[in-house]
Amino acid sequence: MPDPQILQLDDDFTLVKRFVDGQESAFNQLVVRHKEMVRSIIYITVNHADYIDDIAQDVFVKIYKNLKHFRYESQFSTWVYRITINKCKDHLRKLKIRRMFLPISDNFEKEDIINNHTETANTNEIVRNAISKLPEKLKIPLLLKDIEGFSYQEIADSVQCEIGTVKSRIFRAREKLKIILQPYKTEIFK
Amino acid sequence: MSKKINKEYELLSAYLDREVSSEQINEIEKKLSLSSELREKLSELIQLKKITNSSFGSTPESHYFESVLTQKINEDKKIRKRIKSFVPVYGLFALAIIIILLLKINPNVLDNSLINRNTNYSVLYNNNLKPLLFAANLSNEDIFNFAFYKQLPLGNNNKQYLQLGMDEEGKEYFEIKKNPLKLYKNNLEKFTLALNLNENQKSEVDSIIKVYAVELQEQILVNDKNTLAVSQSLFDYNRALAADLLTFAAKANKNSFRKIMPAGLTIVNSKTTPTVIKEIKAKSSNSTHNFVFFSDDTIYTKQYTVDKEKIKNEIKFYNENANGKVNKFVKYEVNINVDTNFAKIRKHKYYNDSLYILFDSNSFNVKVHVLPDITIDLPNMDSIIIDLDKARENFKDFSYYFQKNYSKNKFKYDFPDSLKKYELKIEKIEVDSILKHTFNQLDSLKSKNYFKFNFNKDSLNYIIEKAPKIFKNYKWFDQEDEVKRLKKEMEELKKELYEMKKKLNEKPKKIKT
Repeated sequence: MPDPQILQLDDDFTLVKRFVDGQESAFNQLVVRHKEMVRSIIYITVNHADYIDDIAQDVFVKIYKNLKHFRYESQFSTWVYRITINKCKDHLRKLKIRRMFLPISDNFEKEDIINNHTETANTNEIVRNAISKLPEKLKIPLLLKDIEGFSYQEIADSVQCEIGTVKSRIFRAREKLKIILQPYKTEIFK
Repeated sequence: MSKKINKEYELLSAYLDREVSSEQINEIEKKLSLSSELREKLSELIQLKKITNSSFGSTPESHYFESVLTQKINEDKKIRKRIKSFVPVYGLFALAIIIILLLKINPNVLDNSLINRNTNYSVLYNNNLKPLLFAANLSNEDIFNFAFYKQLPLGNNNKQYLQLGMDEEGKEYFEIKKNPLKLYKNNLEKFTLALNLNENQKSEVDSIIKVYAVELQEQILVNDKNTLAVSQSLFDYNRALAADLLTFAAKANKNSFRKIMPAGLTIVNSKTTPTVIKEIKAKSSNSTHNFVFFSDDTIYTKQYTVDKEKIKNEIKFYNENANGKVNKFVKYEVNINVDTNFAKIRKHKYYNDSLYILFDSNSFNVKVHVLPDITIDLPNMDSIIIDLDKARENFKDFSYYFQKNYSKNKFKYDFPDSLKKYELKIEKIEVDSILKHTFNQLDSLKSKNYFKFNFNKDSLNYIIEKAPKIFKNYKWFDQEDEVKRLKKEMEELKKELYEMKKKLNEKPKKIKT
């Protein structure tokens, strides 16, 4: 009986190599390992639970197609997060374009729902809505840090910018968030 | 907020995220102990981090996440496989688009590339070119026929001929014909007989031809690689030779010449012969001419400089060894066989700006539409073209010729159009032979369909009228039935020929190959 294989937590490279060598099951293991984080990033970035699985599946299809070209120069997880963030950005871009072409009445309807929702929502929803109003370049580093617990280095690798920029963007995101949440100060900061 | 404070708060935010060095920690903590404002800011940042962190709960994963993912991957694989199978089609499509765009931008790109290719290969083709006249060992008769019938054999075996012509639009063309239907023979002899020339005059004709023969040596070149190079000045030399011979004829025997040119010939003047060639030679500055190169797989035009000195030496060598076995030049024979694929592609196509090539099963024509600048300033030949063509036609009618080999069955007949009296040897009129001869002529006219079909003389009618007088002494002619049958056949033949003549003159059609 062969010895059971014990994978190290950071042994993504071995799985990638196995997949490249033709072992399809290695990809399933990679999916199991990273799907939670991928879903989570999508959720906080897109802020819509309905799209999470679709986008996550698209992310893994893209990983499947490009895994043979992975160059082992960065951590596999960083590469996966970068793909995830780019997919989320694509999704938000498409959504934005789609909204531009929606009839004005539909746009009003959506805005009303958001506004009404905001008035009656609980604290978490208020905060989520406030975060969604942040520009993407500020929102993504903030969420990767405060929710996913990424280091500044990991964020810099994922969004492809300098550490100093990440530091500055996170601070600016917090400052902006504070301003947006100013009307709800009493409800939030009890 | 000032920049300094902003930087301080930014550092505080990084401190909160544990993304500062130990030195910075000490520094910040020192500042925090001293500043209540800073402590307040830190507490605010802590609260913001806390609410951000707690705002997003986990979302339940779909039970089918992985199975849907597998399905999507499989679909993607199928699509990629399908795309891969269409790659050649896409490739061809892209190539077609590129070619279309390329042709749109530069329509001459293909022709140019072909010309470039030909230029590169031309070095191979035009190597070791020799003058055709001594390579093919052409006679004075051949050169005379070139003057009046525009036809020059490309070898001693009479398999291929170079034919010069002019289409309906007045554009000149070269034509290389295999096995021409009509061979011109003994025309030089007919010419001298018709003009009743004495020995001195005959040698003068020979000298005119010889002068042109030397000039023509540089105009038609061949080599052992089956390449034929024809100078585009050849048309002018052809006219010049015809003009000089006619000028000589006019001076030698005015009465006979009037039969050839009843209305006179405008080019005939008092200058000594050969007149035109002298003018050409006087104005010639160098021996570089535009040549049309024919070879097995290509036709192209190129300027080519004939090395006169080299040719002179080679001719000398040839003449010295003409009687010996060392006669490599005589072996040169051109047999132009254009690649059929090339012919298909180039059928009825403009080859480049100056050439139009027409192929059929028996020949191909190269029409020289735009004659490039010729380095020698030739006399205005256009003005004498009509006169020369008329002279050629009349010369054909005039030059009836009967063999002088008398036999037992000979009889004398005073032929009204001829200058001489000949004894004719006629056993019996064979209608079949007349028909055969006539149809040969018609075939020839079909192949040159752009020429106007022209009966110069209704020879059949003439024979019908004169037959009783000619053949009265023959036994077979006494039989009335035979005569009636002959007359009937002649009438039918005449009718048939008129029909054909009518059809052929209707509208010329291009030969379909």
